[in-house]
Amino acid sequence: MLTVKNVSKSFDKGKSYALNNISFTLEKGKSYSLVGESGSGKTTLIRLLCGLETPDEGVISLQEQIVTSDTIFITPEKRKIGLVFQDYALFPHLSVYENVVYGISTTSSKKNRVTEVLNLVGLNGFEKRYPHELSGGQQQRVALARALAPAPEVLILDEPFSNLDTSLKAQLRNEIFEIIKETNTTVIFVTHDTNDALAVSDEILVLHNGVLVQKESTEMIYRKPKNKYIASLFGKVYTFDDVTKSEFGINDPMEFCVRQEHLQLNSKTHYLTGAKILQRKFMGTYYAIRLQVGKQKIVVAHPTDIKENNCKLGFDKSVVFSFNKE
Amino acid sequence: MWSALTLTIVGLIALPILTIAVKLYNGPGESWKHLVDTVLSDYISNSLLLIIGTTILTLLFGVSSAWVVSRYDFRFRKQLEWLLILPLAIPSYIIAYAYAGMFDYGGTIEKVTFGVFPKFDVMNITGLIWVLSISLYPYVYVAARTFFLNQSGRLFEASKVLGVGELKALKKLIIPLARPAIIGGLVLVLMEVLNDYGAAKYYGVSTFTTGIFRAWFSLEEPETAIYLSALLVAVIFILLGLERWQRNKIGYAINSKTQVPLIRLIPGRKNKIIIYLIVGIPVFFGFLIPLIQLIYWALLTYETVLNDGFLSTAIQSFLIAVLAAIFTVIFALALIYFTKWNRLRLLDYITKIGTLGYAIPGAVIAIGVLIPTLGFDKWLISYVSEHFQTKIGFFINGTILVLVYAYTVRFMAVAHNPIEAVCLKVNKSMSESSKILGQSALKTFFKIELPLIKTGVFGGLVLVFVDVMKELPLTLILKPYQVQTLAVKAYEYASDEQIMEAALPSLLIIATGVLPVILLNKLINR
Amino acid sequence: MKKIIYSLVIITLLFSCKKEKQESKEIIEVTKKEEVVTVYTHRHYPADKQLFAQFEKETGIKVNVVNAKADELIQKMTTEGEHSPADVLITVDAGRLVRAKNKNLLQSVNSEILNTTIPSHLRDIDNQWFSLTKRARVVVYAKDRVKPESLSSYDELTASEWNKKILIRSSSNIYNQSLLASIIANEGEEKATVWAKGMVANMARTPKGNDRDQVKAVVAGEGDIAVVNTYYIGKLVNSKNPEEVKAGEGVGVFFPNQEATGTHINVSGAGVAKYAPNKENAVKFIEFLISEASQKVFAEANYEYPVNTKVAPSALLQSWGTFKEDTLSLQQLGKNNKKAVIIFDIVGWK
Repeated sequence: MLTVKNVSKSFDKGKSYALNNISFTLEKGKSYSLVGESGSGKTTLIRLLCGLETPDEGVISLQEQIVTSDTIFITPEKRKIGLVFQDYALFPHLSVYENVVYGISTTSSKKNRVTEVLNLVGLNGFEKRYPHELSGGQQQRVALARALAPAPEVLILDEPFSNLDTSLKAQLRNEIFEIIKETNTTVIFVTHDTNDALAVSDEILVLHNGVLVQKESTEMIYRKPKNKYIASLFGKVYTFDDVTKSEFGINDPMEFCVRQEHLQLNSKTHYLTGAKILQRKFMGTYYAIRLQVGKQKIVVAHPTDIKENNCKLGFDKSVVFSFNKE
Repeated sequence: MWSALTLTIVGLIALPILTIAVKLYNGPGESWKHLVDTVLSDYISNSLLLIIGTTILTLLFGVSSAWVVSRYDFRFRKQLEWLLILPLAIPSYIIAYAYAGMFDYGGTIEKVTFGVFPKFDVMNITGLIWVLSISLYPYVYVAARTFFLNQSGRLFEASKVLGVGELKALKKLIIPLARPAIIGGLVLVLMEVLNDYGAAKYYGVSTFTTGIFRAWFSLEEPETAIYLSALLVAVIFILLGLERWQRNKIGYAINSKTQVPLIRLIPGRKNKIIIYLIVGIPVFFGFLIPLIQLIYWALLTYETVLNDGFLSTAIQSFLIAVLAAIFTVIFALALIYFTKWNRLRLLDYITKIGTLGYAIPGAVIAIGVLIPTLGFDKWLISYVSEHFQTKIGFFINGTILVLVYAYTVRFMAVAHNPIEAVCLKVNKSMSESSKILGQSALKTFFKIELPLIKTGVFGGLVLVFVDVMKELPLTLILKPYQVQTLAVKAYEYASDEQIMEAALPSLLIIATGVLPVILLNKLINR
Repeated sequence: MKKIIYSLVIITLLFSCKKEKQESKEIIEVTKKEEVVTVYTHRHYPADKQLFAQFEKETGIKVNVVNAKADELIQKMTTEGEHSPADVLITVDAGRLVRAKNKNLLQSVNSEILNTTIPSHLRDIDNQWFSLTKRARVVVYAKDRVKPESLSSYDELTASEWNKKILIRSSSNIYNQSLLASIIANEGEEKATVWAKGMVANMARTPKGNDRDQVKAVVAGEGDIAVVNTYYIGKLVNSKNPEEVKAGEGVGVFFPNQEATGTHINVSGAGVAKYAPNKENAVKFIEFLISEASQKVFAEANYEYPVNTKVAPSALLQSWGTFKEDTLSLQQLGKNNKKAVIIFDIVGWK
């Protein structure tokens, strides 16, 4: 459906690459998250997809049709890709209706289409309002309605929730993805928040320093991250080389890591090492216990308080990741 | 197709300037060495003095008055806000005449004070600095005020929260951040200063520009004149380079989304006096005094000056200025957007050349326009007579078209700069999202960008209009004989030493300039 | 629908350009049909306009006027070359006419009327240009402080007696350039340099302002004497501003060089353009301007001395007395103009 092949882009004539030899394929109707820290090349990649930039090398095709290559370049207005900008980019001088109708090219049922998408985002009745008269969440929905109105094949959401309150964010995020699911549009959701990515997408693409390091289903990428960097995107990861070697008898020249949430204290079944408790903190549903294990300081969530000064730390063998040493 | 159009338009704008540059290649005339030996140092030192003097004074008048009207609320503030812009509507040579007449023997000052305050010599370089500063400071004022109104509210809030006092915030925060805007205005002032001919000549100060005319006409060496203008342009290049350099150095912009209106303070009694002085002095000396002098002269002479021809002259001036303003703005828009759409590096540089016209004396531009258009006309005449066996006259020359073309070249920067400034403010994602929504570049321009930049477009229209109304040397050389403008009329009287008779056309130039200037002010306020 | 609107906008834009072009074409066509004469003139006086209208009325020939500084007009004619629409060039200074002649912009005219009416020193040897009116560059003095007997020649102005007492305008002015050019022609470059140096030494102030301003400064006491053009004294005396009248009446007029070559004069003059499309009309036009009736208009309305000897100057001019004028061929002024400017630069005459 959307295929990217060997795409590279440099902004300084090859001294460094914003994107380096990226290839992947997306399937129709699925939702994807594009994850990476700022500077990882996310923005460049979506600008290439939209046709707002041209790559140095590589081919992009949409529905079996090449839209970008050495010889072919389809301008953004002729690609069926929708984009919701980080700052929404609503046209300030146009009403909600005019904003949404702007991209609809069919001549007959413009009005119906606008009503339809405004219904979808729950904003009917707001047609005559202007962007500055709307709240942040409403603006967000108008931006989404506007992007959906021309019925794009692919919809890209560029950090759409970064300007919203956290309390508003989760709710709006879920609502919006339900709306998009209904339209059966392929979605690329650009974010630096892995919780968002896990919550709404089928697959996650991780970009790091301009390289696509992993593309996998959300579960796989959580369970089998390719390297420690990807693993750490989803929360704190601790290295237990010595322990794993001695306890499990694994003796490869590898690095062994465990997620923070998989660590257990005073477990009956899993025991690895003793630890000294440095601090306890009540966190509502759990206690955050700060431990000293060898040279490492580790924080573990435990359902109850531990009165003693020492405790036992353990985890299941199945949750250990092993990576090549970097 | 866009590339071809872009090249044509950019080429048209750059052509006269390139023509002059090519002429430069032929070397200076034989008197060049003589000039270098005798008067060049005078030109340089006088021009430098003018630059330094007007820089200090225009900054003083412009920035202080802009700050006061943005920060304080006082009686007549609204009226003073636009009165402060009005000196822009008076040609500086007219202000120069008015001042000379005022302080002359038996002049108005002497009469009003019954000789207690006798003749005071304004006709020297100090007087010239004063006259030019008082008539040109609005460029700085407008630029500074726009910044203060739009940007300083949030900054002040932030600095207040940090416990920093008003004066320190002004010194450490507002002025440094406003500097690019202020210097942008100052560059316009300096270009006008270096371009001034009428006032400097009348006050007997030899500058580069008076030197250019002298070399051209008295020494009969256009080559030398063009050489002198090249030196002048070099000076302006350095000024522009400095401006760009300092702008790059301060490579930050303030997020326009967080604009907070500056809350105006009510000044105390002592401050009130200072405030009225700060805004009163420029308005009084830059607008009221010359205006009163002109009105007095007009009353003495209106019987001879006012006739049927006068009204038609006024209408013609107005229409020409409107036409020129529209053309210039369209070309400026074309320059900005065509280069944007084409993404050609080269075009950027040619566009820069296109906006240089403002730095080049009008008379030199006229020659730059005459040479290629005459070439075209001559070619057309021979082509037509060859293929159609008929004789035709000049097609472009001696028509409004060539005049409007020359104005467009000369005032490109005047329209280009405010429009570009507004364009930079419009978020790139606006046009990008329009494109992604399937609209062509042209539709994006008309539906999205044009409405968003309309303040800049209107500002450009007004500024060009006012400038064309005042323009003289270029008009003199290129205007068709059926056409008469107010500026030319005023000049005819003045050059025949009938300065009093020049008052009425000057007043009308001012009157036609005042309304658009007030409109412009409304626009800044919004 | 929208597309239609955009195309309309563009079409109207294009059309408006086109229309303009068509208009200019029409003008050209119209001017071709009727009899016209196109005049490039530096003069822009009501008297001239009145005469142009009179000419149109008498002959039916339409007068097209291009008004600009002589230098710019010459530059314009040069660039226009053989396609120039100019028929007649009028300037307020002979030097400029000579320049036009040297640049090959004028042509010889053989007119009985012109040759007999205009004295020979007031027209070109090749009859390429003809004077229309004269102005004398005289010395004016403060009536209350200066005895006219103490004045004699331009040369004498450099005497120490006048130290810090002379007012004269900038050297950018053509009248001063012509005056120095005449001295170069009469007495040589070296003497001219000495004279200019002496004048600079005797100046009461740095040159500034125009001729009227010099007269006002004399009356106000900033200096005692000024070198100015008679025309402007006429203008002052007849000014609408009472202060100016006072200034005009406060000075006496002295014609210098009466014992020697005569008072330096500036002339306004006209020549027929080399590529004049309407040569006959051009000659008719110049002949008309030196006719007695026209010359009377010049004399009465414009405080200028007529070149037609049959016409008397105005009463005001007569009241200053008659004088001997420098009969130096005006050709010489144009020839020495550039030298004069260079000398001015060297001696530091601003």
